[in-house]
Amino acid sequence: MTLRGKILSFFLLLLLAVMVLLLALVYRSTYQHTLSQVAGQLDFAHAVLSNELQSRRQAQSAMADLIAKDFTLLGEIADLVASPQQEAQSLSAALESFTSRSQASFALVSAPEGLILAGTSGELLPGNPLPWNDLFDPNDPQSAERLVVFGERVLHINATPIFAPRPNLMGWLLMAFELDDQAVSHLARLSGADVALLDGRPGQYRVLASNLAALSRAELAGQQLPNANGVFRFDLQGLEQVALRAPLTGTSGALQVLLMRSLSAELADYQPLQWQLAGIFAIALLLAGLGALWIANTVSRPLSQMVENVRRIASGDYQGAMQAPATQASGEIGLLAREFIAMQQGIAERETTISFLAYRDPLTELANRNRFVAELQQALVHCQPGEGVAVLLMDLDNFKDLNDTLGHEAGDVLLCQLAERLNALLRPHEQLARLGGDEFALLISPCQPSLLIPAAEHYRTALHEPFAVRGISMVLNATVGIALYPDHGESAGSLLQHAEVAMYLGKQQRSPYALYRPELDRHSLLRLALMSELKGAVEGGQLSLYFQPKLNIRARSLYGVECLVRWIHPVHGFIAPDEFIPLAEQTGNVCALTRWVVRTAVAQSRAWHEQGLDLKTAINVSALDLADPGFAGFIAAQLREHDVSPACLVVEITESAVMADPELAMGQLQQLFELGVLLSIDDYGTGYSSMAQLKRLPVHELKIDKSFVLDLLSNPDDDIIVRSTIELGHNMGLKIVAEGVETEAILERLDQLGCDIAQGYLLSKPLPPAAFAEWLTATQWRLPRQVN
Amino acid sequence: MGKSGWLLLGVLMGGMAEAASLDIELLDQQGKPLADAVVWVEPGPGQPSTAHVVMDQQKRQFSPYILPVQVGTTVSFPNSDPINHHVYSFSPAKRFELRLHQQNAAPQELRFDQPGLVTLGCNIHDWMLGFILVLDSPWFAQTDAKGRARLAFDTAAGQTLHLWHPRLSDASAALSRALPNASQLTWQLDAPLKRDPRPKTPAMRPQGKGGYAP
Repeated sequence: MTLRGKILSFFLLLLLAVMVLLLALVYRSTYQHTLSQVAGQLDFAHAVLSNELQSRRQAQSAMADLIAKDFTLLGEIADLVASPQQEAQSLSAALESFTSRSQASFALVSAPEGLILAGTSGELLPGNPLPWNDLFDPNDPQSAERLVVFGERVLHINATPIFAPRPNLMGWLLMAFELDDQAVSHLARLSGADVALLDGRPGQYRVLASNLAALSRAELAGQQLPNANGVFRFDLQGLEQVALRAPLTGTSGALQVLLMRSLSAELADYQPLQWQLAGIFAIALLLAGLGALWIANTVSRPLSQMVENVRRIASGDYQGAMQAPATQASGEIGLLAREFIAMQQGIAERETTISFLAYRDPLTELANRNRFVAELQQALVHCQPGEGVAVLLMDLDNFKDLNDTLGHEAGDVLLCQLAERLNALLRPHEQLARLGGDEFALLISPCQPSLLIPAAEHYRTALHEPFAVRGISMVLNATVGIALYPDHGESAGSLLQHAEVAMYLGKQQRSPYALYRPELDRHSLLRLALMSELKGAVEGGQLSLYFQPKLNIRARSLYGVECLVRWIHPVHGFIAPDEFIPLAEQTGNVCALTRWVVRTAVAQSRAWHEQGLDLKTAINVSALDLADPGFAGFIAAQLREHDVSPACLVVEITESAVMADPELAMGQLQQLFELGVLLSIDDYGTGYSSMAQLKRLPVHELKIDKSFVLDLLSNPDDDIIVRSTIELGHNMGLKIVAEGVETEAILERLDQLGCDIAQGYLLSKPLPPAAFAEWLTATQWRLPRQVN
Repeated sequence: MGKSGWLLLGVLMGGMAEAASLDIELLDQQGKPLADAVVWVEPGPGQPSTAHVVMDQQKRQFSPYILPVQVGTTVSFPNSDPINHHVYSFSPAKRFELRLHQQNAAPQELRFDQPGLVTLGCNIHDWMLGFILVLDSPWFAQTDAKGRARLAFDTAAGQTLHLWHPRLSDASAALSRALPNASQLTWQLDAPLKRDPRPKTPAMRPQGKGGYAP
């Protein structure tokens, strides 16, 4: 329930409750008042009724007395007594006359003992005894009267002795006056109450006489009225009646007199008052409702506005200002609204800061990748047909090496300088961002294909001047990859990826910039794209180390293994090292790869050692590894960590790697040599290394490239080269390893030539760890058990 | 009974042998004398009486209150009051009605030739009550204020002595007993007397014009 509803309902319910209470009180008091008034009226009516009834009875008695003394009547009676048969008609006729004069129902004359002599009644016939004989005492004849129920009628009967003269009792005159509906109606008019004469039991009354209508009479007959005297209430014809059971003197049997007044009729007098009250209440309710509504609105409208604002803020809209009524409201609500606005502004400011941080590269304060992607998406949305959007991805060459050499701080300074220069080169409709590391991106929108190369050239001018870091001046080179919407991609993601592919392509081609070309070899492109995944592969366990055994030819025993890295891509499957290692070297990922190989190989060497096998474990190292000044230290640390003897590790370096920068390679090789690690020159014979240079290297082995060994038996030239190499190596104190040994015959020939170690499919192809473990158990060759 | 009555009695007694008399003292249950009671001896001789007696209306009362007569007696009904009376009787012994007009009008006479009690009333004055006891005997007497009466009778006549008074238990029936041999009889009633049946005379009388003095 809303606040407004609460306030409104509280006020209205309160008022309603008060009004209902008041109405109830008014009704109750008017009811009580009316009730007591009606009860009083009934008492009065009873008094009037009793008095009137008494008067009537007295008058009727007096009339009966007079008639009883009528001389004519006496004479008629005397005549009848004298001659019973003849004179009864005469007496009856006289009585008829008296009945008519006195307005009685009937009159009878009886003998002193109560036997009827004559009369005008249809029911009480001559010759029968009179009922009510207790009224007729011949020994003490006196007038008596009584209300009796006779048949269905209420009769007032007067028994008057007829003296001729007193005390000579001649007979009795009985006069009956009916209390009929007419008489009762007269009484009702006089007393002001409804009157009913009834007898019988509750629920089975006989209404003998009443001023009530027939329906009411019938209902009254079925009522369960209380038996006691006094005031009580009941319903008649749907109207509440107040009734008084009036005690009457001189009645017989179950005759009851009921006086009634309709309470409903009395209450009807108060109905206009109640309607007026109800009207006043309705108006008050309306006014109170309007007032409460007004108050509720002054409180709740600002609140609902604030709720609306909160919703807007929750959905990220901080700009909508609160409407005037809320902020201008007085009191706590207005204060709350103003504080709320302050809070809204605070949130908006902080959000601005947060979004600045979220979309800015903290180092260079250029836009970050998120911002760049968002801007690119916006640009794609707003790009007009016939126009293009270009993404230029600039990546410094060999920045990682520089970073490793000079330290990260120097790298950061360099990146900042580059950012400044690029920023200075920005032109209208172009945006700059740093995507991470040494990768900068440019967004040109709109852009025409013809402007791509000039743009790349334009930004490459940032590299023309040397950079100065810590007093060192250096010239940086960078490759720019270019992708153009809509030719090279539809989405921001594909554009960025294709620009990256183009950039890798450029690096491979040693070209300063490269435009993405859809017709490029898809396989190679795929591989290029995979380069970005290589780092993840090293960490994600997609790399695996395969082992190829080496044989000590003279002893015909196992000498060691060469570790060869394999990449099992979850999507593309097996990827040959010839494919990904050169790329890893180009993208600077090779060092991480080599370190993983070192860690894994040393750990494996430790495992073999614990199995009692004395196997030389050979790993391949890139020229870039030798450029890493921490490489030898890393190997030493790994050997120490796994408690592996340096003499168990063989580091194989290609001839070309050493010859690329002999001076740089020399330092690391020397350190490894001093560490005690065995060094091997791989692929010997393919390069053009001078023996003089070779001689200076602290190496232990020469590996003759398999191209010389495979055709050793059939190609005399190869035989000469192999033989001379063996001799030369032996002369220099080096062991000679022959690769590509595939047959027993070649092994024999190599043995004859004095070659020390053989490697090739004769023994086994490179095997994954589990398969190599099986090969070890099944091999015919002797295993080199540890001496101790 | 007036002087003429006693005269008649004396004539009768003088004319017959073996005449006797009885002095009666009538007392009620409490021993008080009872006046106006009638005593007589029955049966008497079949000779009807030719006597004339008077039942007067004085001060709106019958006078005398009780009048014993022998069968055949003619009773005169004068009116001594200045107002009219309407004397009637519905008694079977003698049923009549006499309109007695004002004083000084000629009295009306009635002969009572059936024995029995005749109750007199006035149709105008309800309270007026009188009795004429018609006896079949000439030997009767009436008690005085002291309850005494001398009854003369012929010894050869009946041997039964009768007594009647309206206050005796049954107003219509008479008490009777055997005639004593002595000349003195004190008759004390053993049943209580009834209420005096005479209604009370109204205390208020009409006054002024239309009113009357007596």
